[in-house]
Amino acid sequence: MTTTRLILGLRLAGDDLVDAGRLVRSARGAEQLGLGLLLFDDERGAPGAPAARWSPDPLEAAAHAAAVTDAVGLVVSAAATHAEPFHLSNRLSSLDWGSHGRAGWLVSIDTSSQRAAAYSAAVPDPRAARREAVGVVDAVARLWDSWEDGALIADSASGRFLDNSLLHYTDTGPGSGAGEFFRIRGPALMPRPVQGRPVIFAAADDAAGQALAGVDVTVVTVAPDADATSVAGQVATDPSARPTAARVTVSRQTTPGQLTALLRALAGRAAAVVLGGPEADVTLDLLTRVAPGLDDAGLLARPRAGQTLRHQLGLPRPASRYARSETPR
Amino acid sequence: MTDPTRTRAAAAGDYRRPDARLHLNAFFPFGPIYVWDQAQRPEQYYEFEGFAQLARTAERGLFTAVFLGDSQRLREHLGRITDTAVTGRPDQLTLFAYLAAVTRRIGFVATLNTTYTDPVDLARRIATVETLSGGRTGWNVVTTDNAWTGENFRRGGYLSHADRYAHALEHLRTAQQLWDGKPVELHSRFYDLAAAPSLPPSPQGQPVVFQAGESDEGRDFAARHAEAIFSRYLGFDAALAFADDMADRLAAVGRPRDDIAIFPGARITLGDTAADAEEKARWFHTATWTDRRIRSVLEAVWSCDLSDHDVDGPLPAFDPVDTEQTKTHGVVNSRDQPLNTAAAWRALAAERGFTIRQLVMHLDSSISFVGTPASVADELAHYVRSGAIDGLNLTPNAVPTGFDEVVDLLVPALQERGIYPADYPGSTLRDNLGLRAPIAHRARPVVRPGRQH
Repeated sequence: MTTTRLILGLRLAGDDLVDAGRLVRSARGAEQLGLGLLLFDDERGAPGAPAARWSPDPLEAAAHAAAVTDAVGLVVSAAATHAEPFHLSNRLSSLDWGSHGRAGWLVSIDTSSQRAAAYSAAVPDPRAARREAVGVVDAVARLWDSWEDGALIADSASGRFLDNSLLHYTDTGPGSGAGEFFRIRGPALMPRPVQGRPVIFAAADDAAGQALAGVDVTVVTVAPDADATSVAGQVATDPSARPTAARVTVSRQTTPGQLTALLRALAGRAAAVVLGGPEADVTLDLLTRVAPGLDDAGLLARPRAGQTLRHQLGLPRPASRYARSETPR
Repeated sequence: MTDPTRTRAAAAGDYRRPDARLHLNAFFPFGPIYVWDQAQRPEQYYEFEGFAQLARTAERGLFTAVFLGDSQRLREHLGRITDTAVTGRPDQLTLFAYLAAVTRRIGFVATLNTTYTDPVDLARRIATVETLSGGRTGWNVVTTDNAWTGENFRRGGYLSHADRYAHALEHLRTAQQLWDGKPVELHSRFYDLAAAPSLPPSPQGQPVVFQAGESDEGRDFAARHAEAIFSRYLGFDAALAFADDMADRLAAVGRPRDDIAIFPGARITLGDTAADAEEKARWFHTATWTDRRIRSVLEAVWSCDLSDHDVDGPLPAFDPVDTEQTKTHGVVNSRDQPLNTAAAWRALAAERGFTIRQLVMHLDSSISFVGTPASVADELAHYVRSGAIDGLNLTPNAVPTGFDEVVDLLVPALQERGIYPADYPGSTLRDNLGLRAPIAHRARPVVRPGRQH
């Protein structure tokens, strides 16, 4: 279904996430304004890279925001390179449980020497990093599927809390490529996520992003001063028919008028626009002056409390690849 | 279940620590036991709201921390995922980041494995929760050399049993140095890393270090590096002996004898009368020890399906089919020798005339305090004033109401006896545990941080 309504998002990173009070105010403020996405970005990509600003872990910051919001999607940046899929899968699944289905994952591939040094790893060449990312995303998604829906039975009469025939080891079983990259045994430490699988975002300009199977949303970068013609060029129709999210970095000089014009040009082309800037507070101020006008024009897609991120984006809830029957349980 | 030797009174004035206070932690083991019919939906055991309600109740009762147990692999029974307990649990730091937003004073202790985490990554995750919570985190440092757990990780089972504490120490020191706001460069047998701190220095100096190993090596690690211990010793004499042993080990490394807080795991069941409390405890015991769970205790040793055996009948007449425990994983006794265990249980059952059920009930070592609020408070006052424990890691009997009675009935009784505060003493976990500065920050540190080669 094509819609001209736009989901608006706000990027939070670094110092935006250090102070709990400020984080809570940003998250609540964004939700009250009708924003549908918060992107918890990784300021430096690596946990130990030196930088001028602090860089908290985006996922823990998102979990903190989950406690004080009930509609906005919570998308977390996490690099696949050098990451342990078992931890990533369980953490994202936990965020999905904690937010009642509002979790998303922006996959990145980080081949920096800083990231490698933080993990006692060698710097990978880009092709190896791409293969690694494909393997990590595949392993993470398999773990999300490893508990079929309906595995919790809590049957006091038989003394069975689980139906363990619905739990699966992920290094064997259906689907090609099992264990091609890593043999992660599984099952996951949590039942199936609320959304089946948290929504996976990957950048279109990240060559690797396109190589990843299971990506739900394509992320493109759009210049803040783009006009309607150049937007049409930058947000090309994705042949896979995935929804597109546009990332725009605004500055302190960006005016409400410029931003409104850009958002109107993006409406109907992108499903979502995520705005970043030097500081989230400044970007949120700008949005406060833009969102109501967009709403009045019928162009703002406001999230509803209790709605999953998949539902907001018009994405179906996937069945577990391990489910024997095609009917959802 | 109540051990009468624990309640023997010490003469007034005999106490080693007449002014000591008791701490309570809300403890969630990995694979907790509940009466499932008490929850409306089984999903409640995983949703964050249930944990949040328990944490808020605990905070109303001035509990010191929420403490989570851990496993990095779902337990298995006879080659299948264990189905007799609530299995799996949210990622600890993700849950704690959430709980930090809905509580103000209670601390958060995560049990995190050094073997299968990266120190720089883990240090940042803990520091994020530390910062968002205003200094309320603790890390229960655990190790494993277990290749079975390693199957869930890219690196696989790579660490030898002998190396696990040397590796853990490098991991811990790397994290602590980053928490102090200092860059780390480490080139060692285990690591080849460089990293800068991701967050400002911790509001409580450093997150509090807990430890849970019971081996001689584990106790020495605790004496050198830990500030609190999760112990298994709750019987009065065993608890006191453990506390004395740890005090001696602390003194041997130049730390004050009281420089570590000891928390055994426990359950508490309260009633209006002793008989009422015992009836409630009996009901919980019966409801949670299902025939399937009772049978699974024997199956873990015999390594085969015993569903054709009546739990109210005799033990199997045949020997365990595997001489090494290979089909049941994740239980504490996985290093036991099945043939020896089976022989010992048969001898015990023959001597006492036990059925399978009676044997398993006899073996059930979960100790709990059962009684009226006044009697349990008296018993706990005796423990803490004697120096046997500093607090309890208290497991709730239900989600989300499992701490209501303790907070409403027992806490006032503890306060009346002068062993429990009327408010939180501070805002950080370190303040609220009454701990000194982090070991590495003291004027003459016992263990120097920094250069690690």
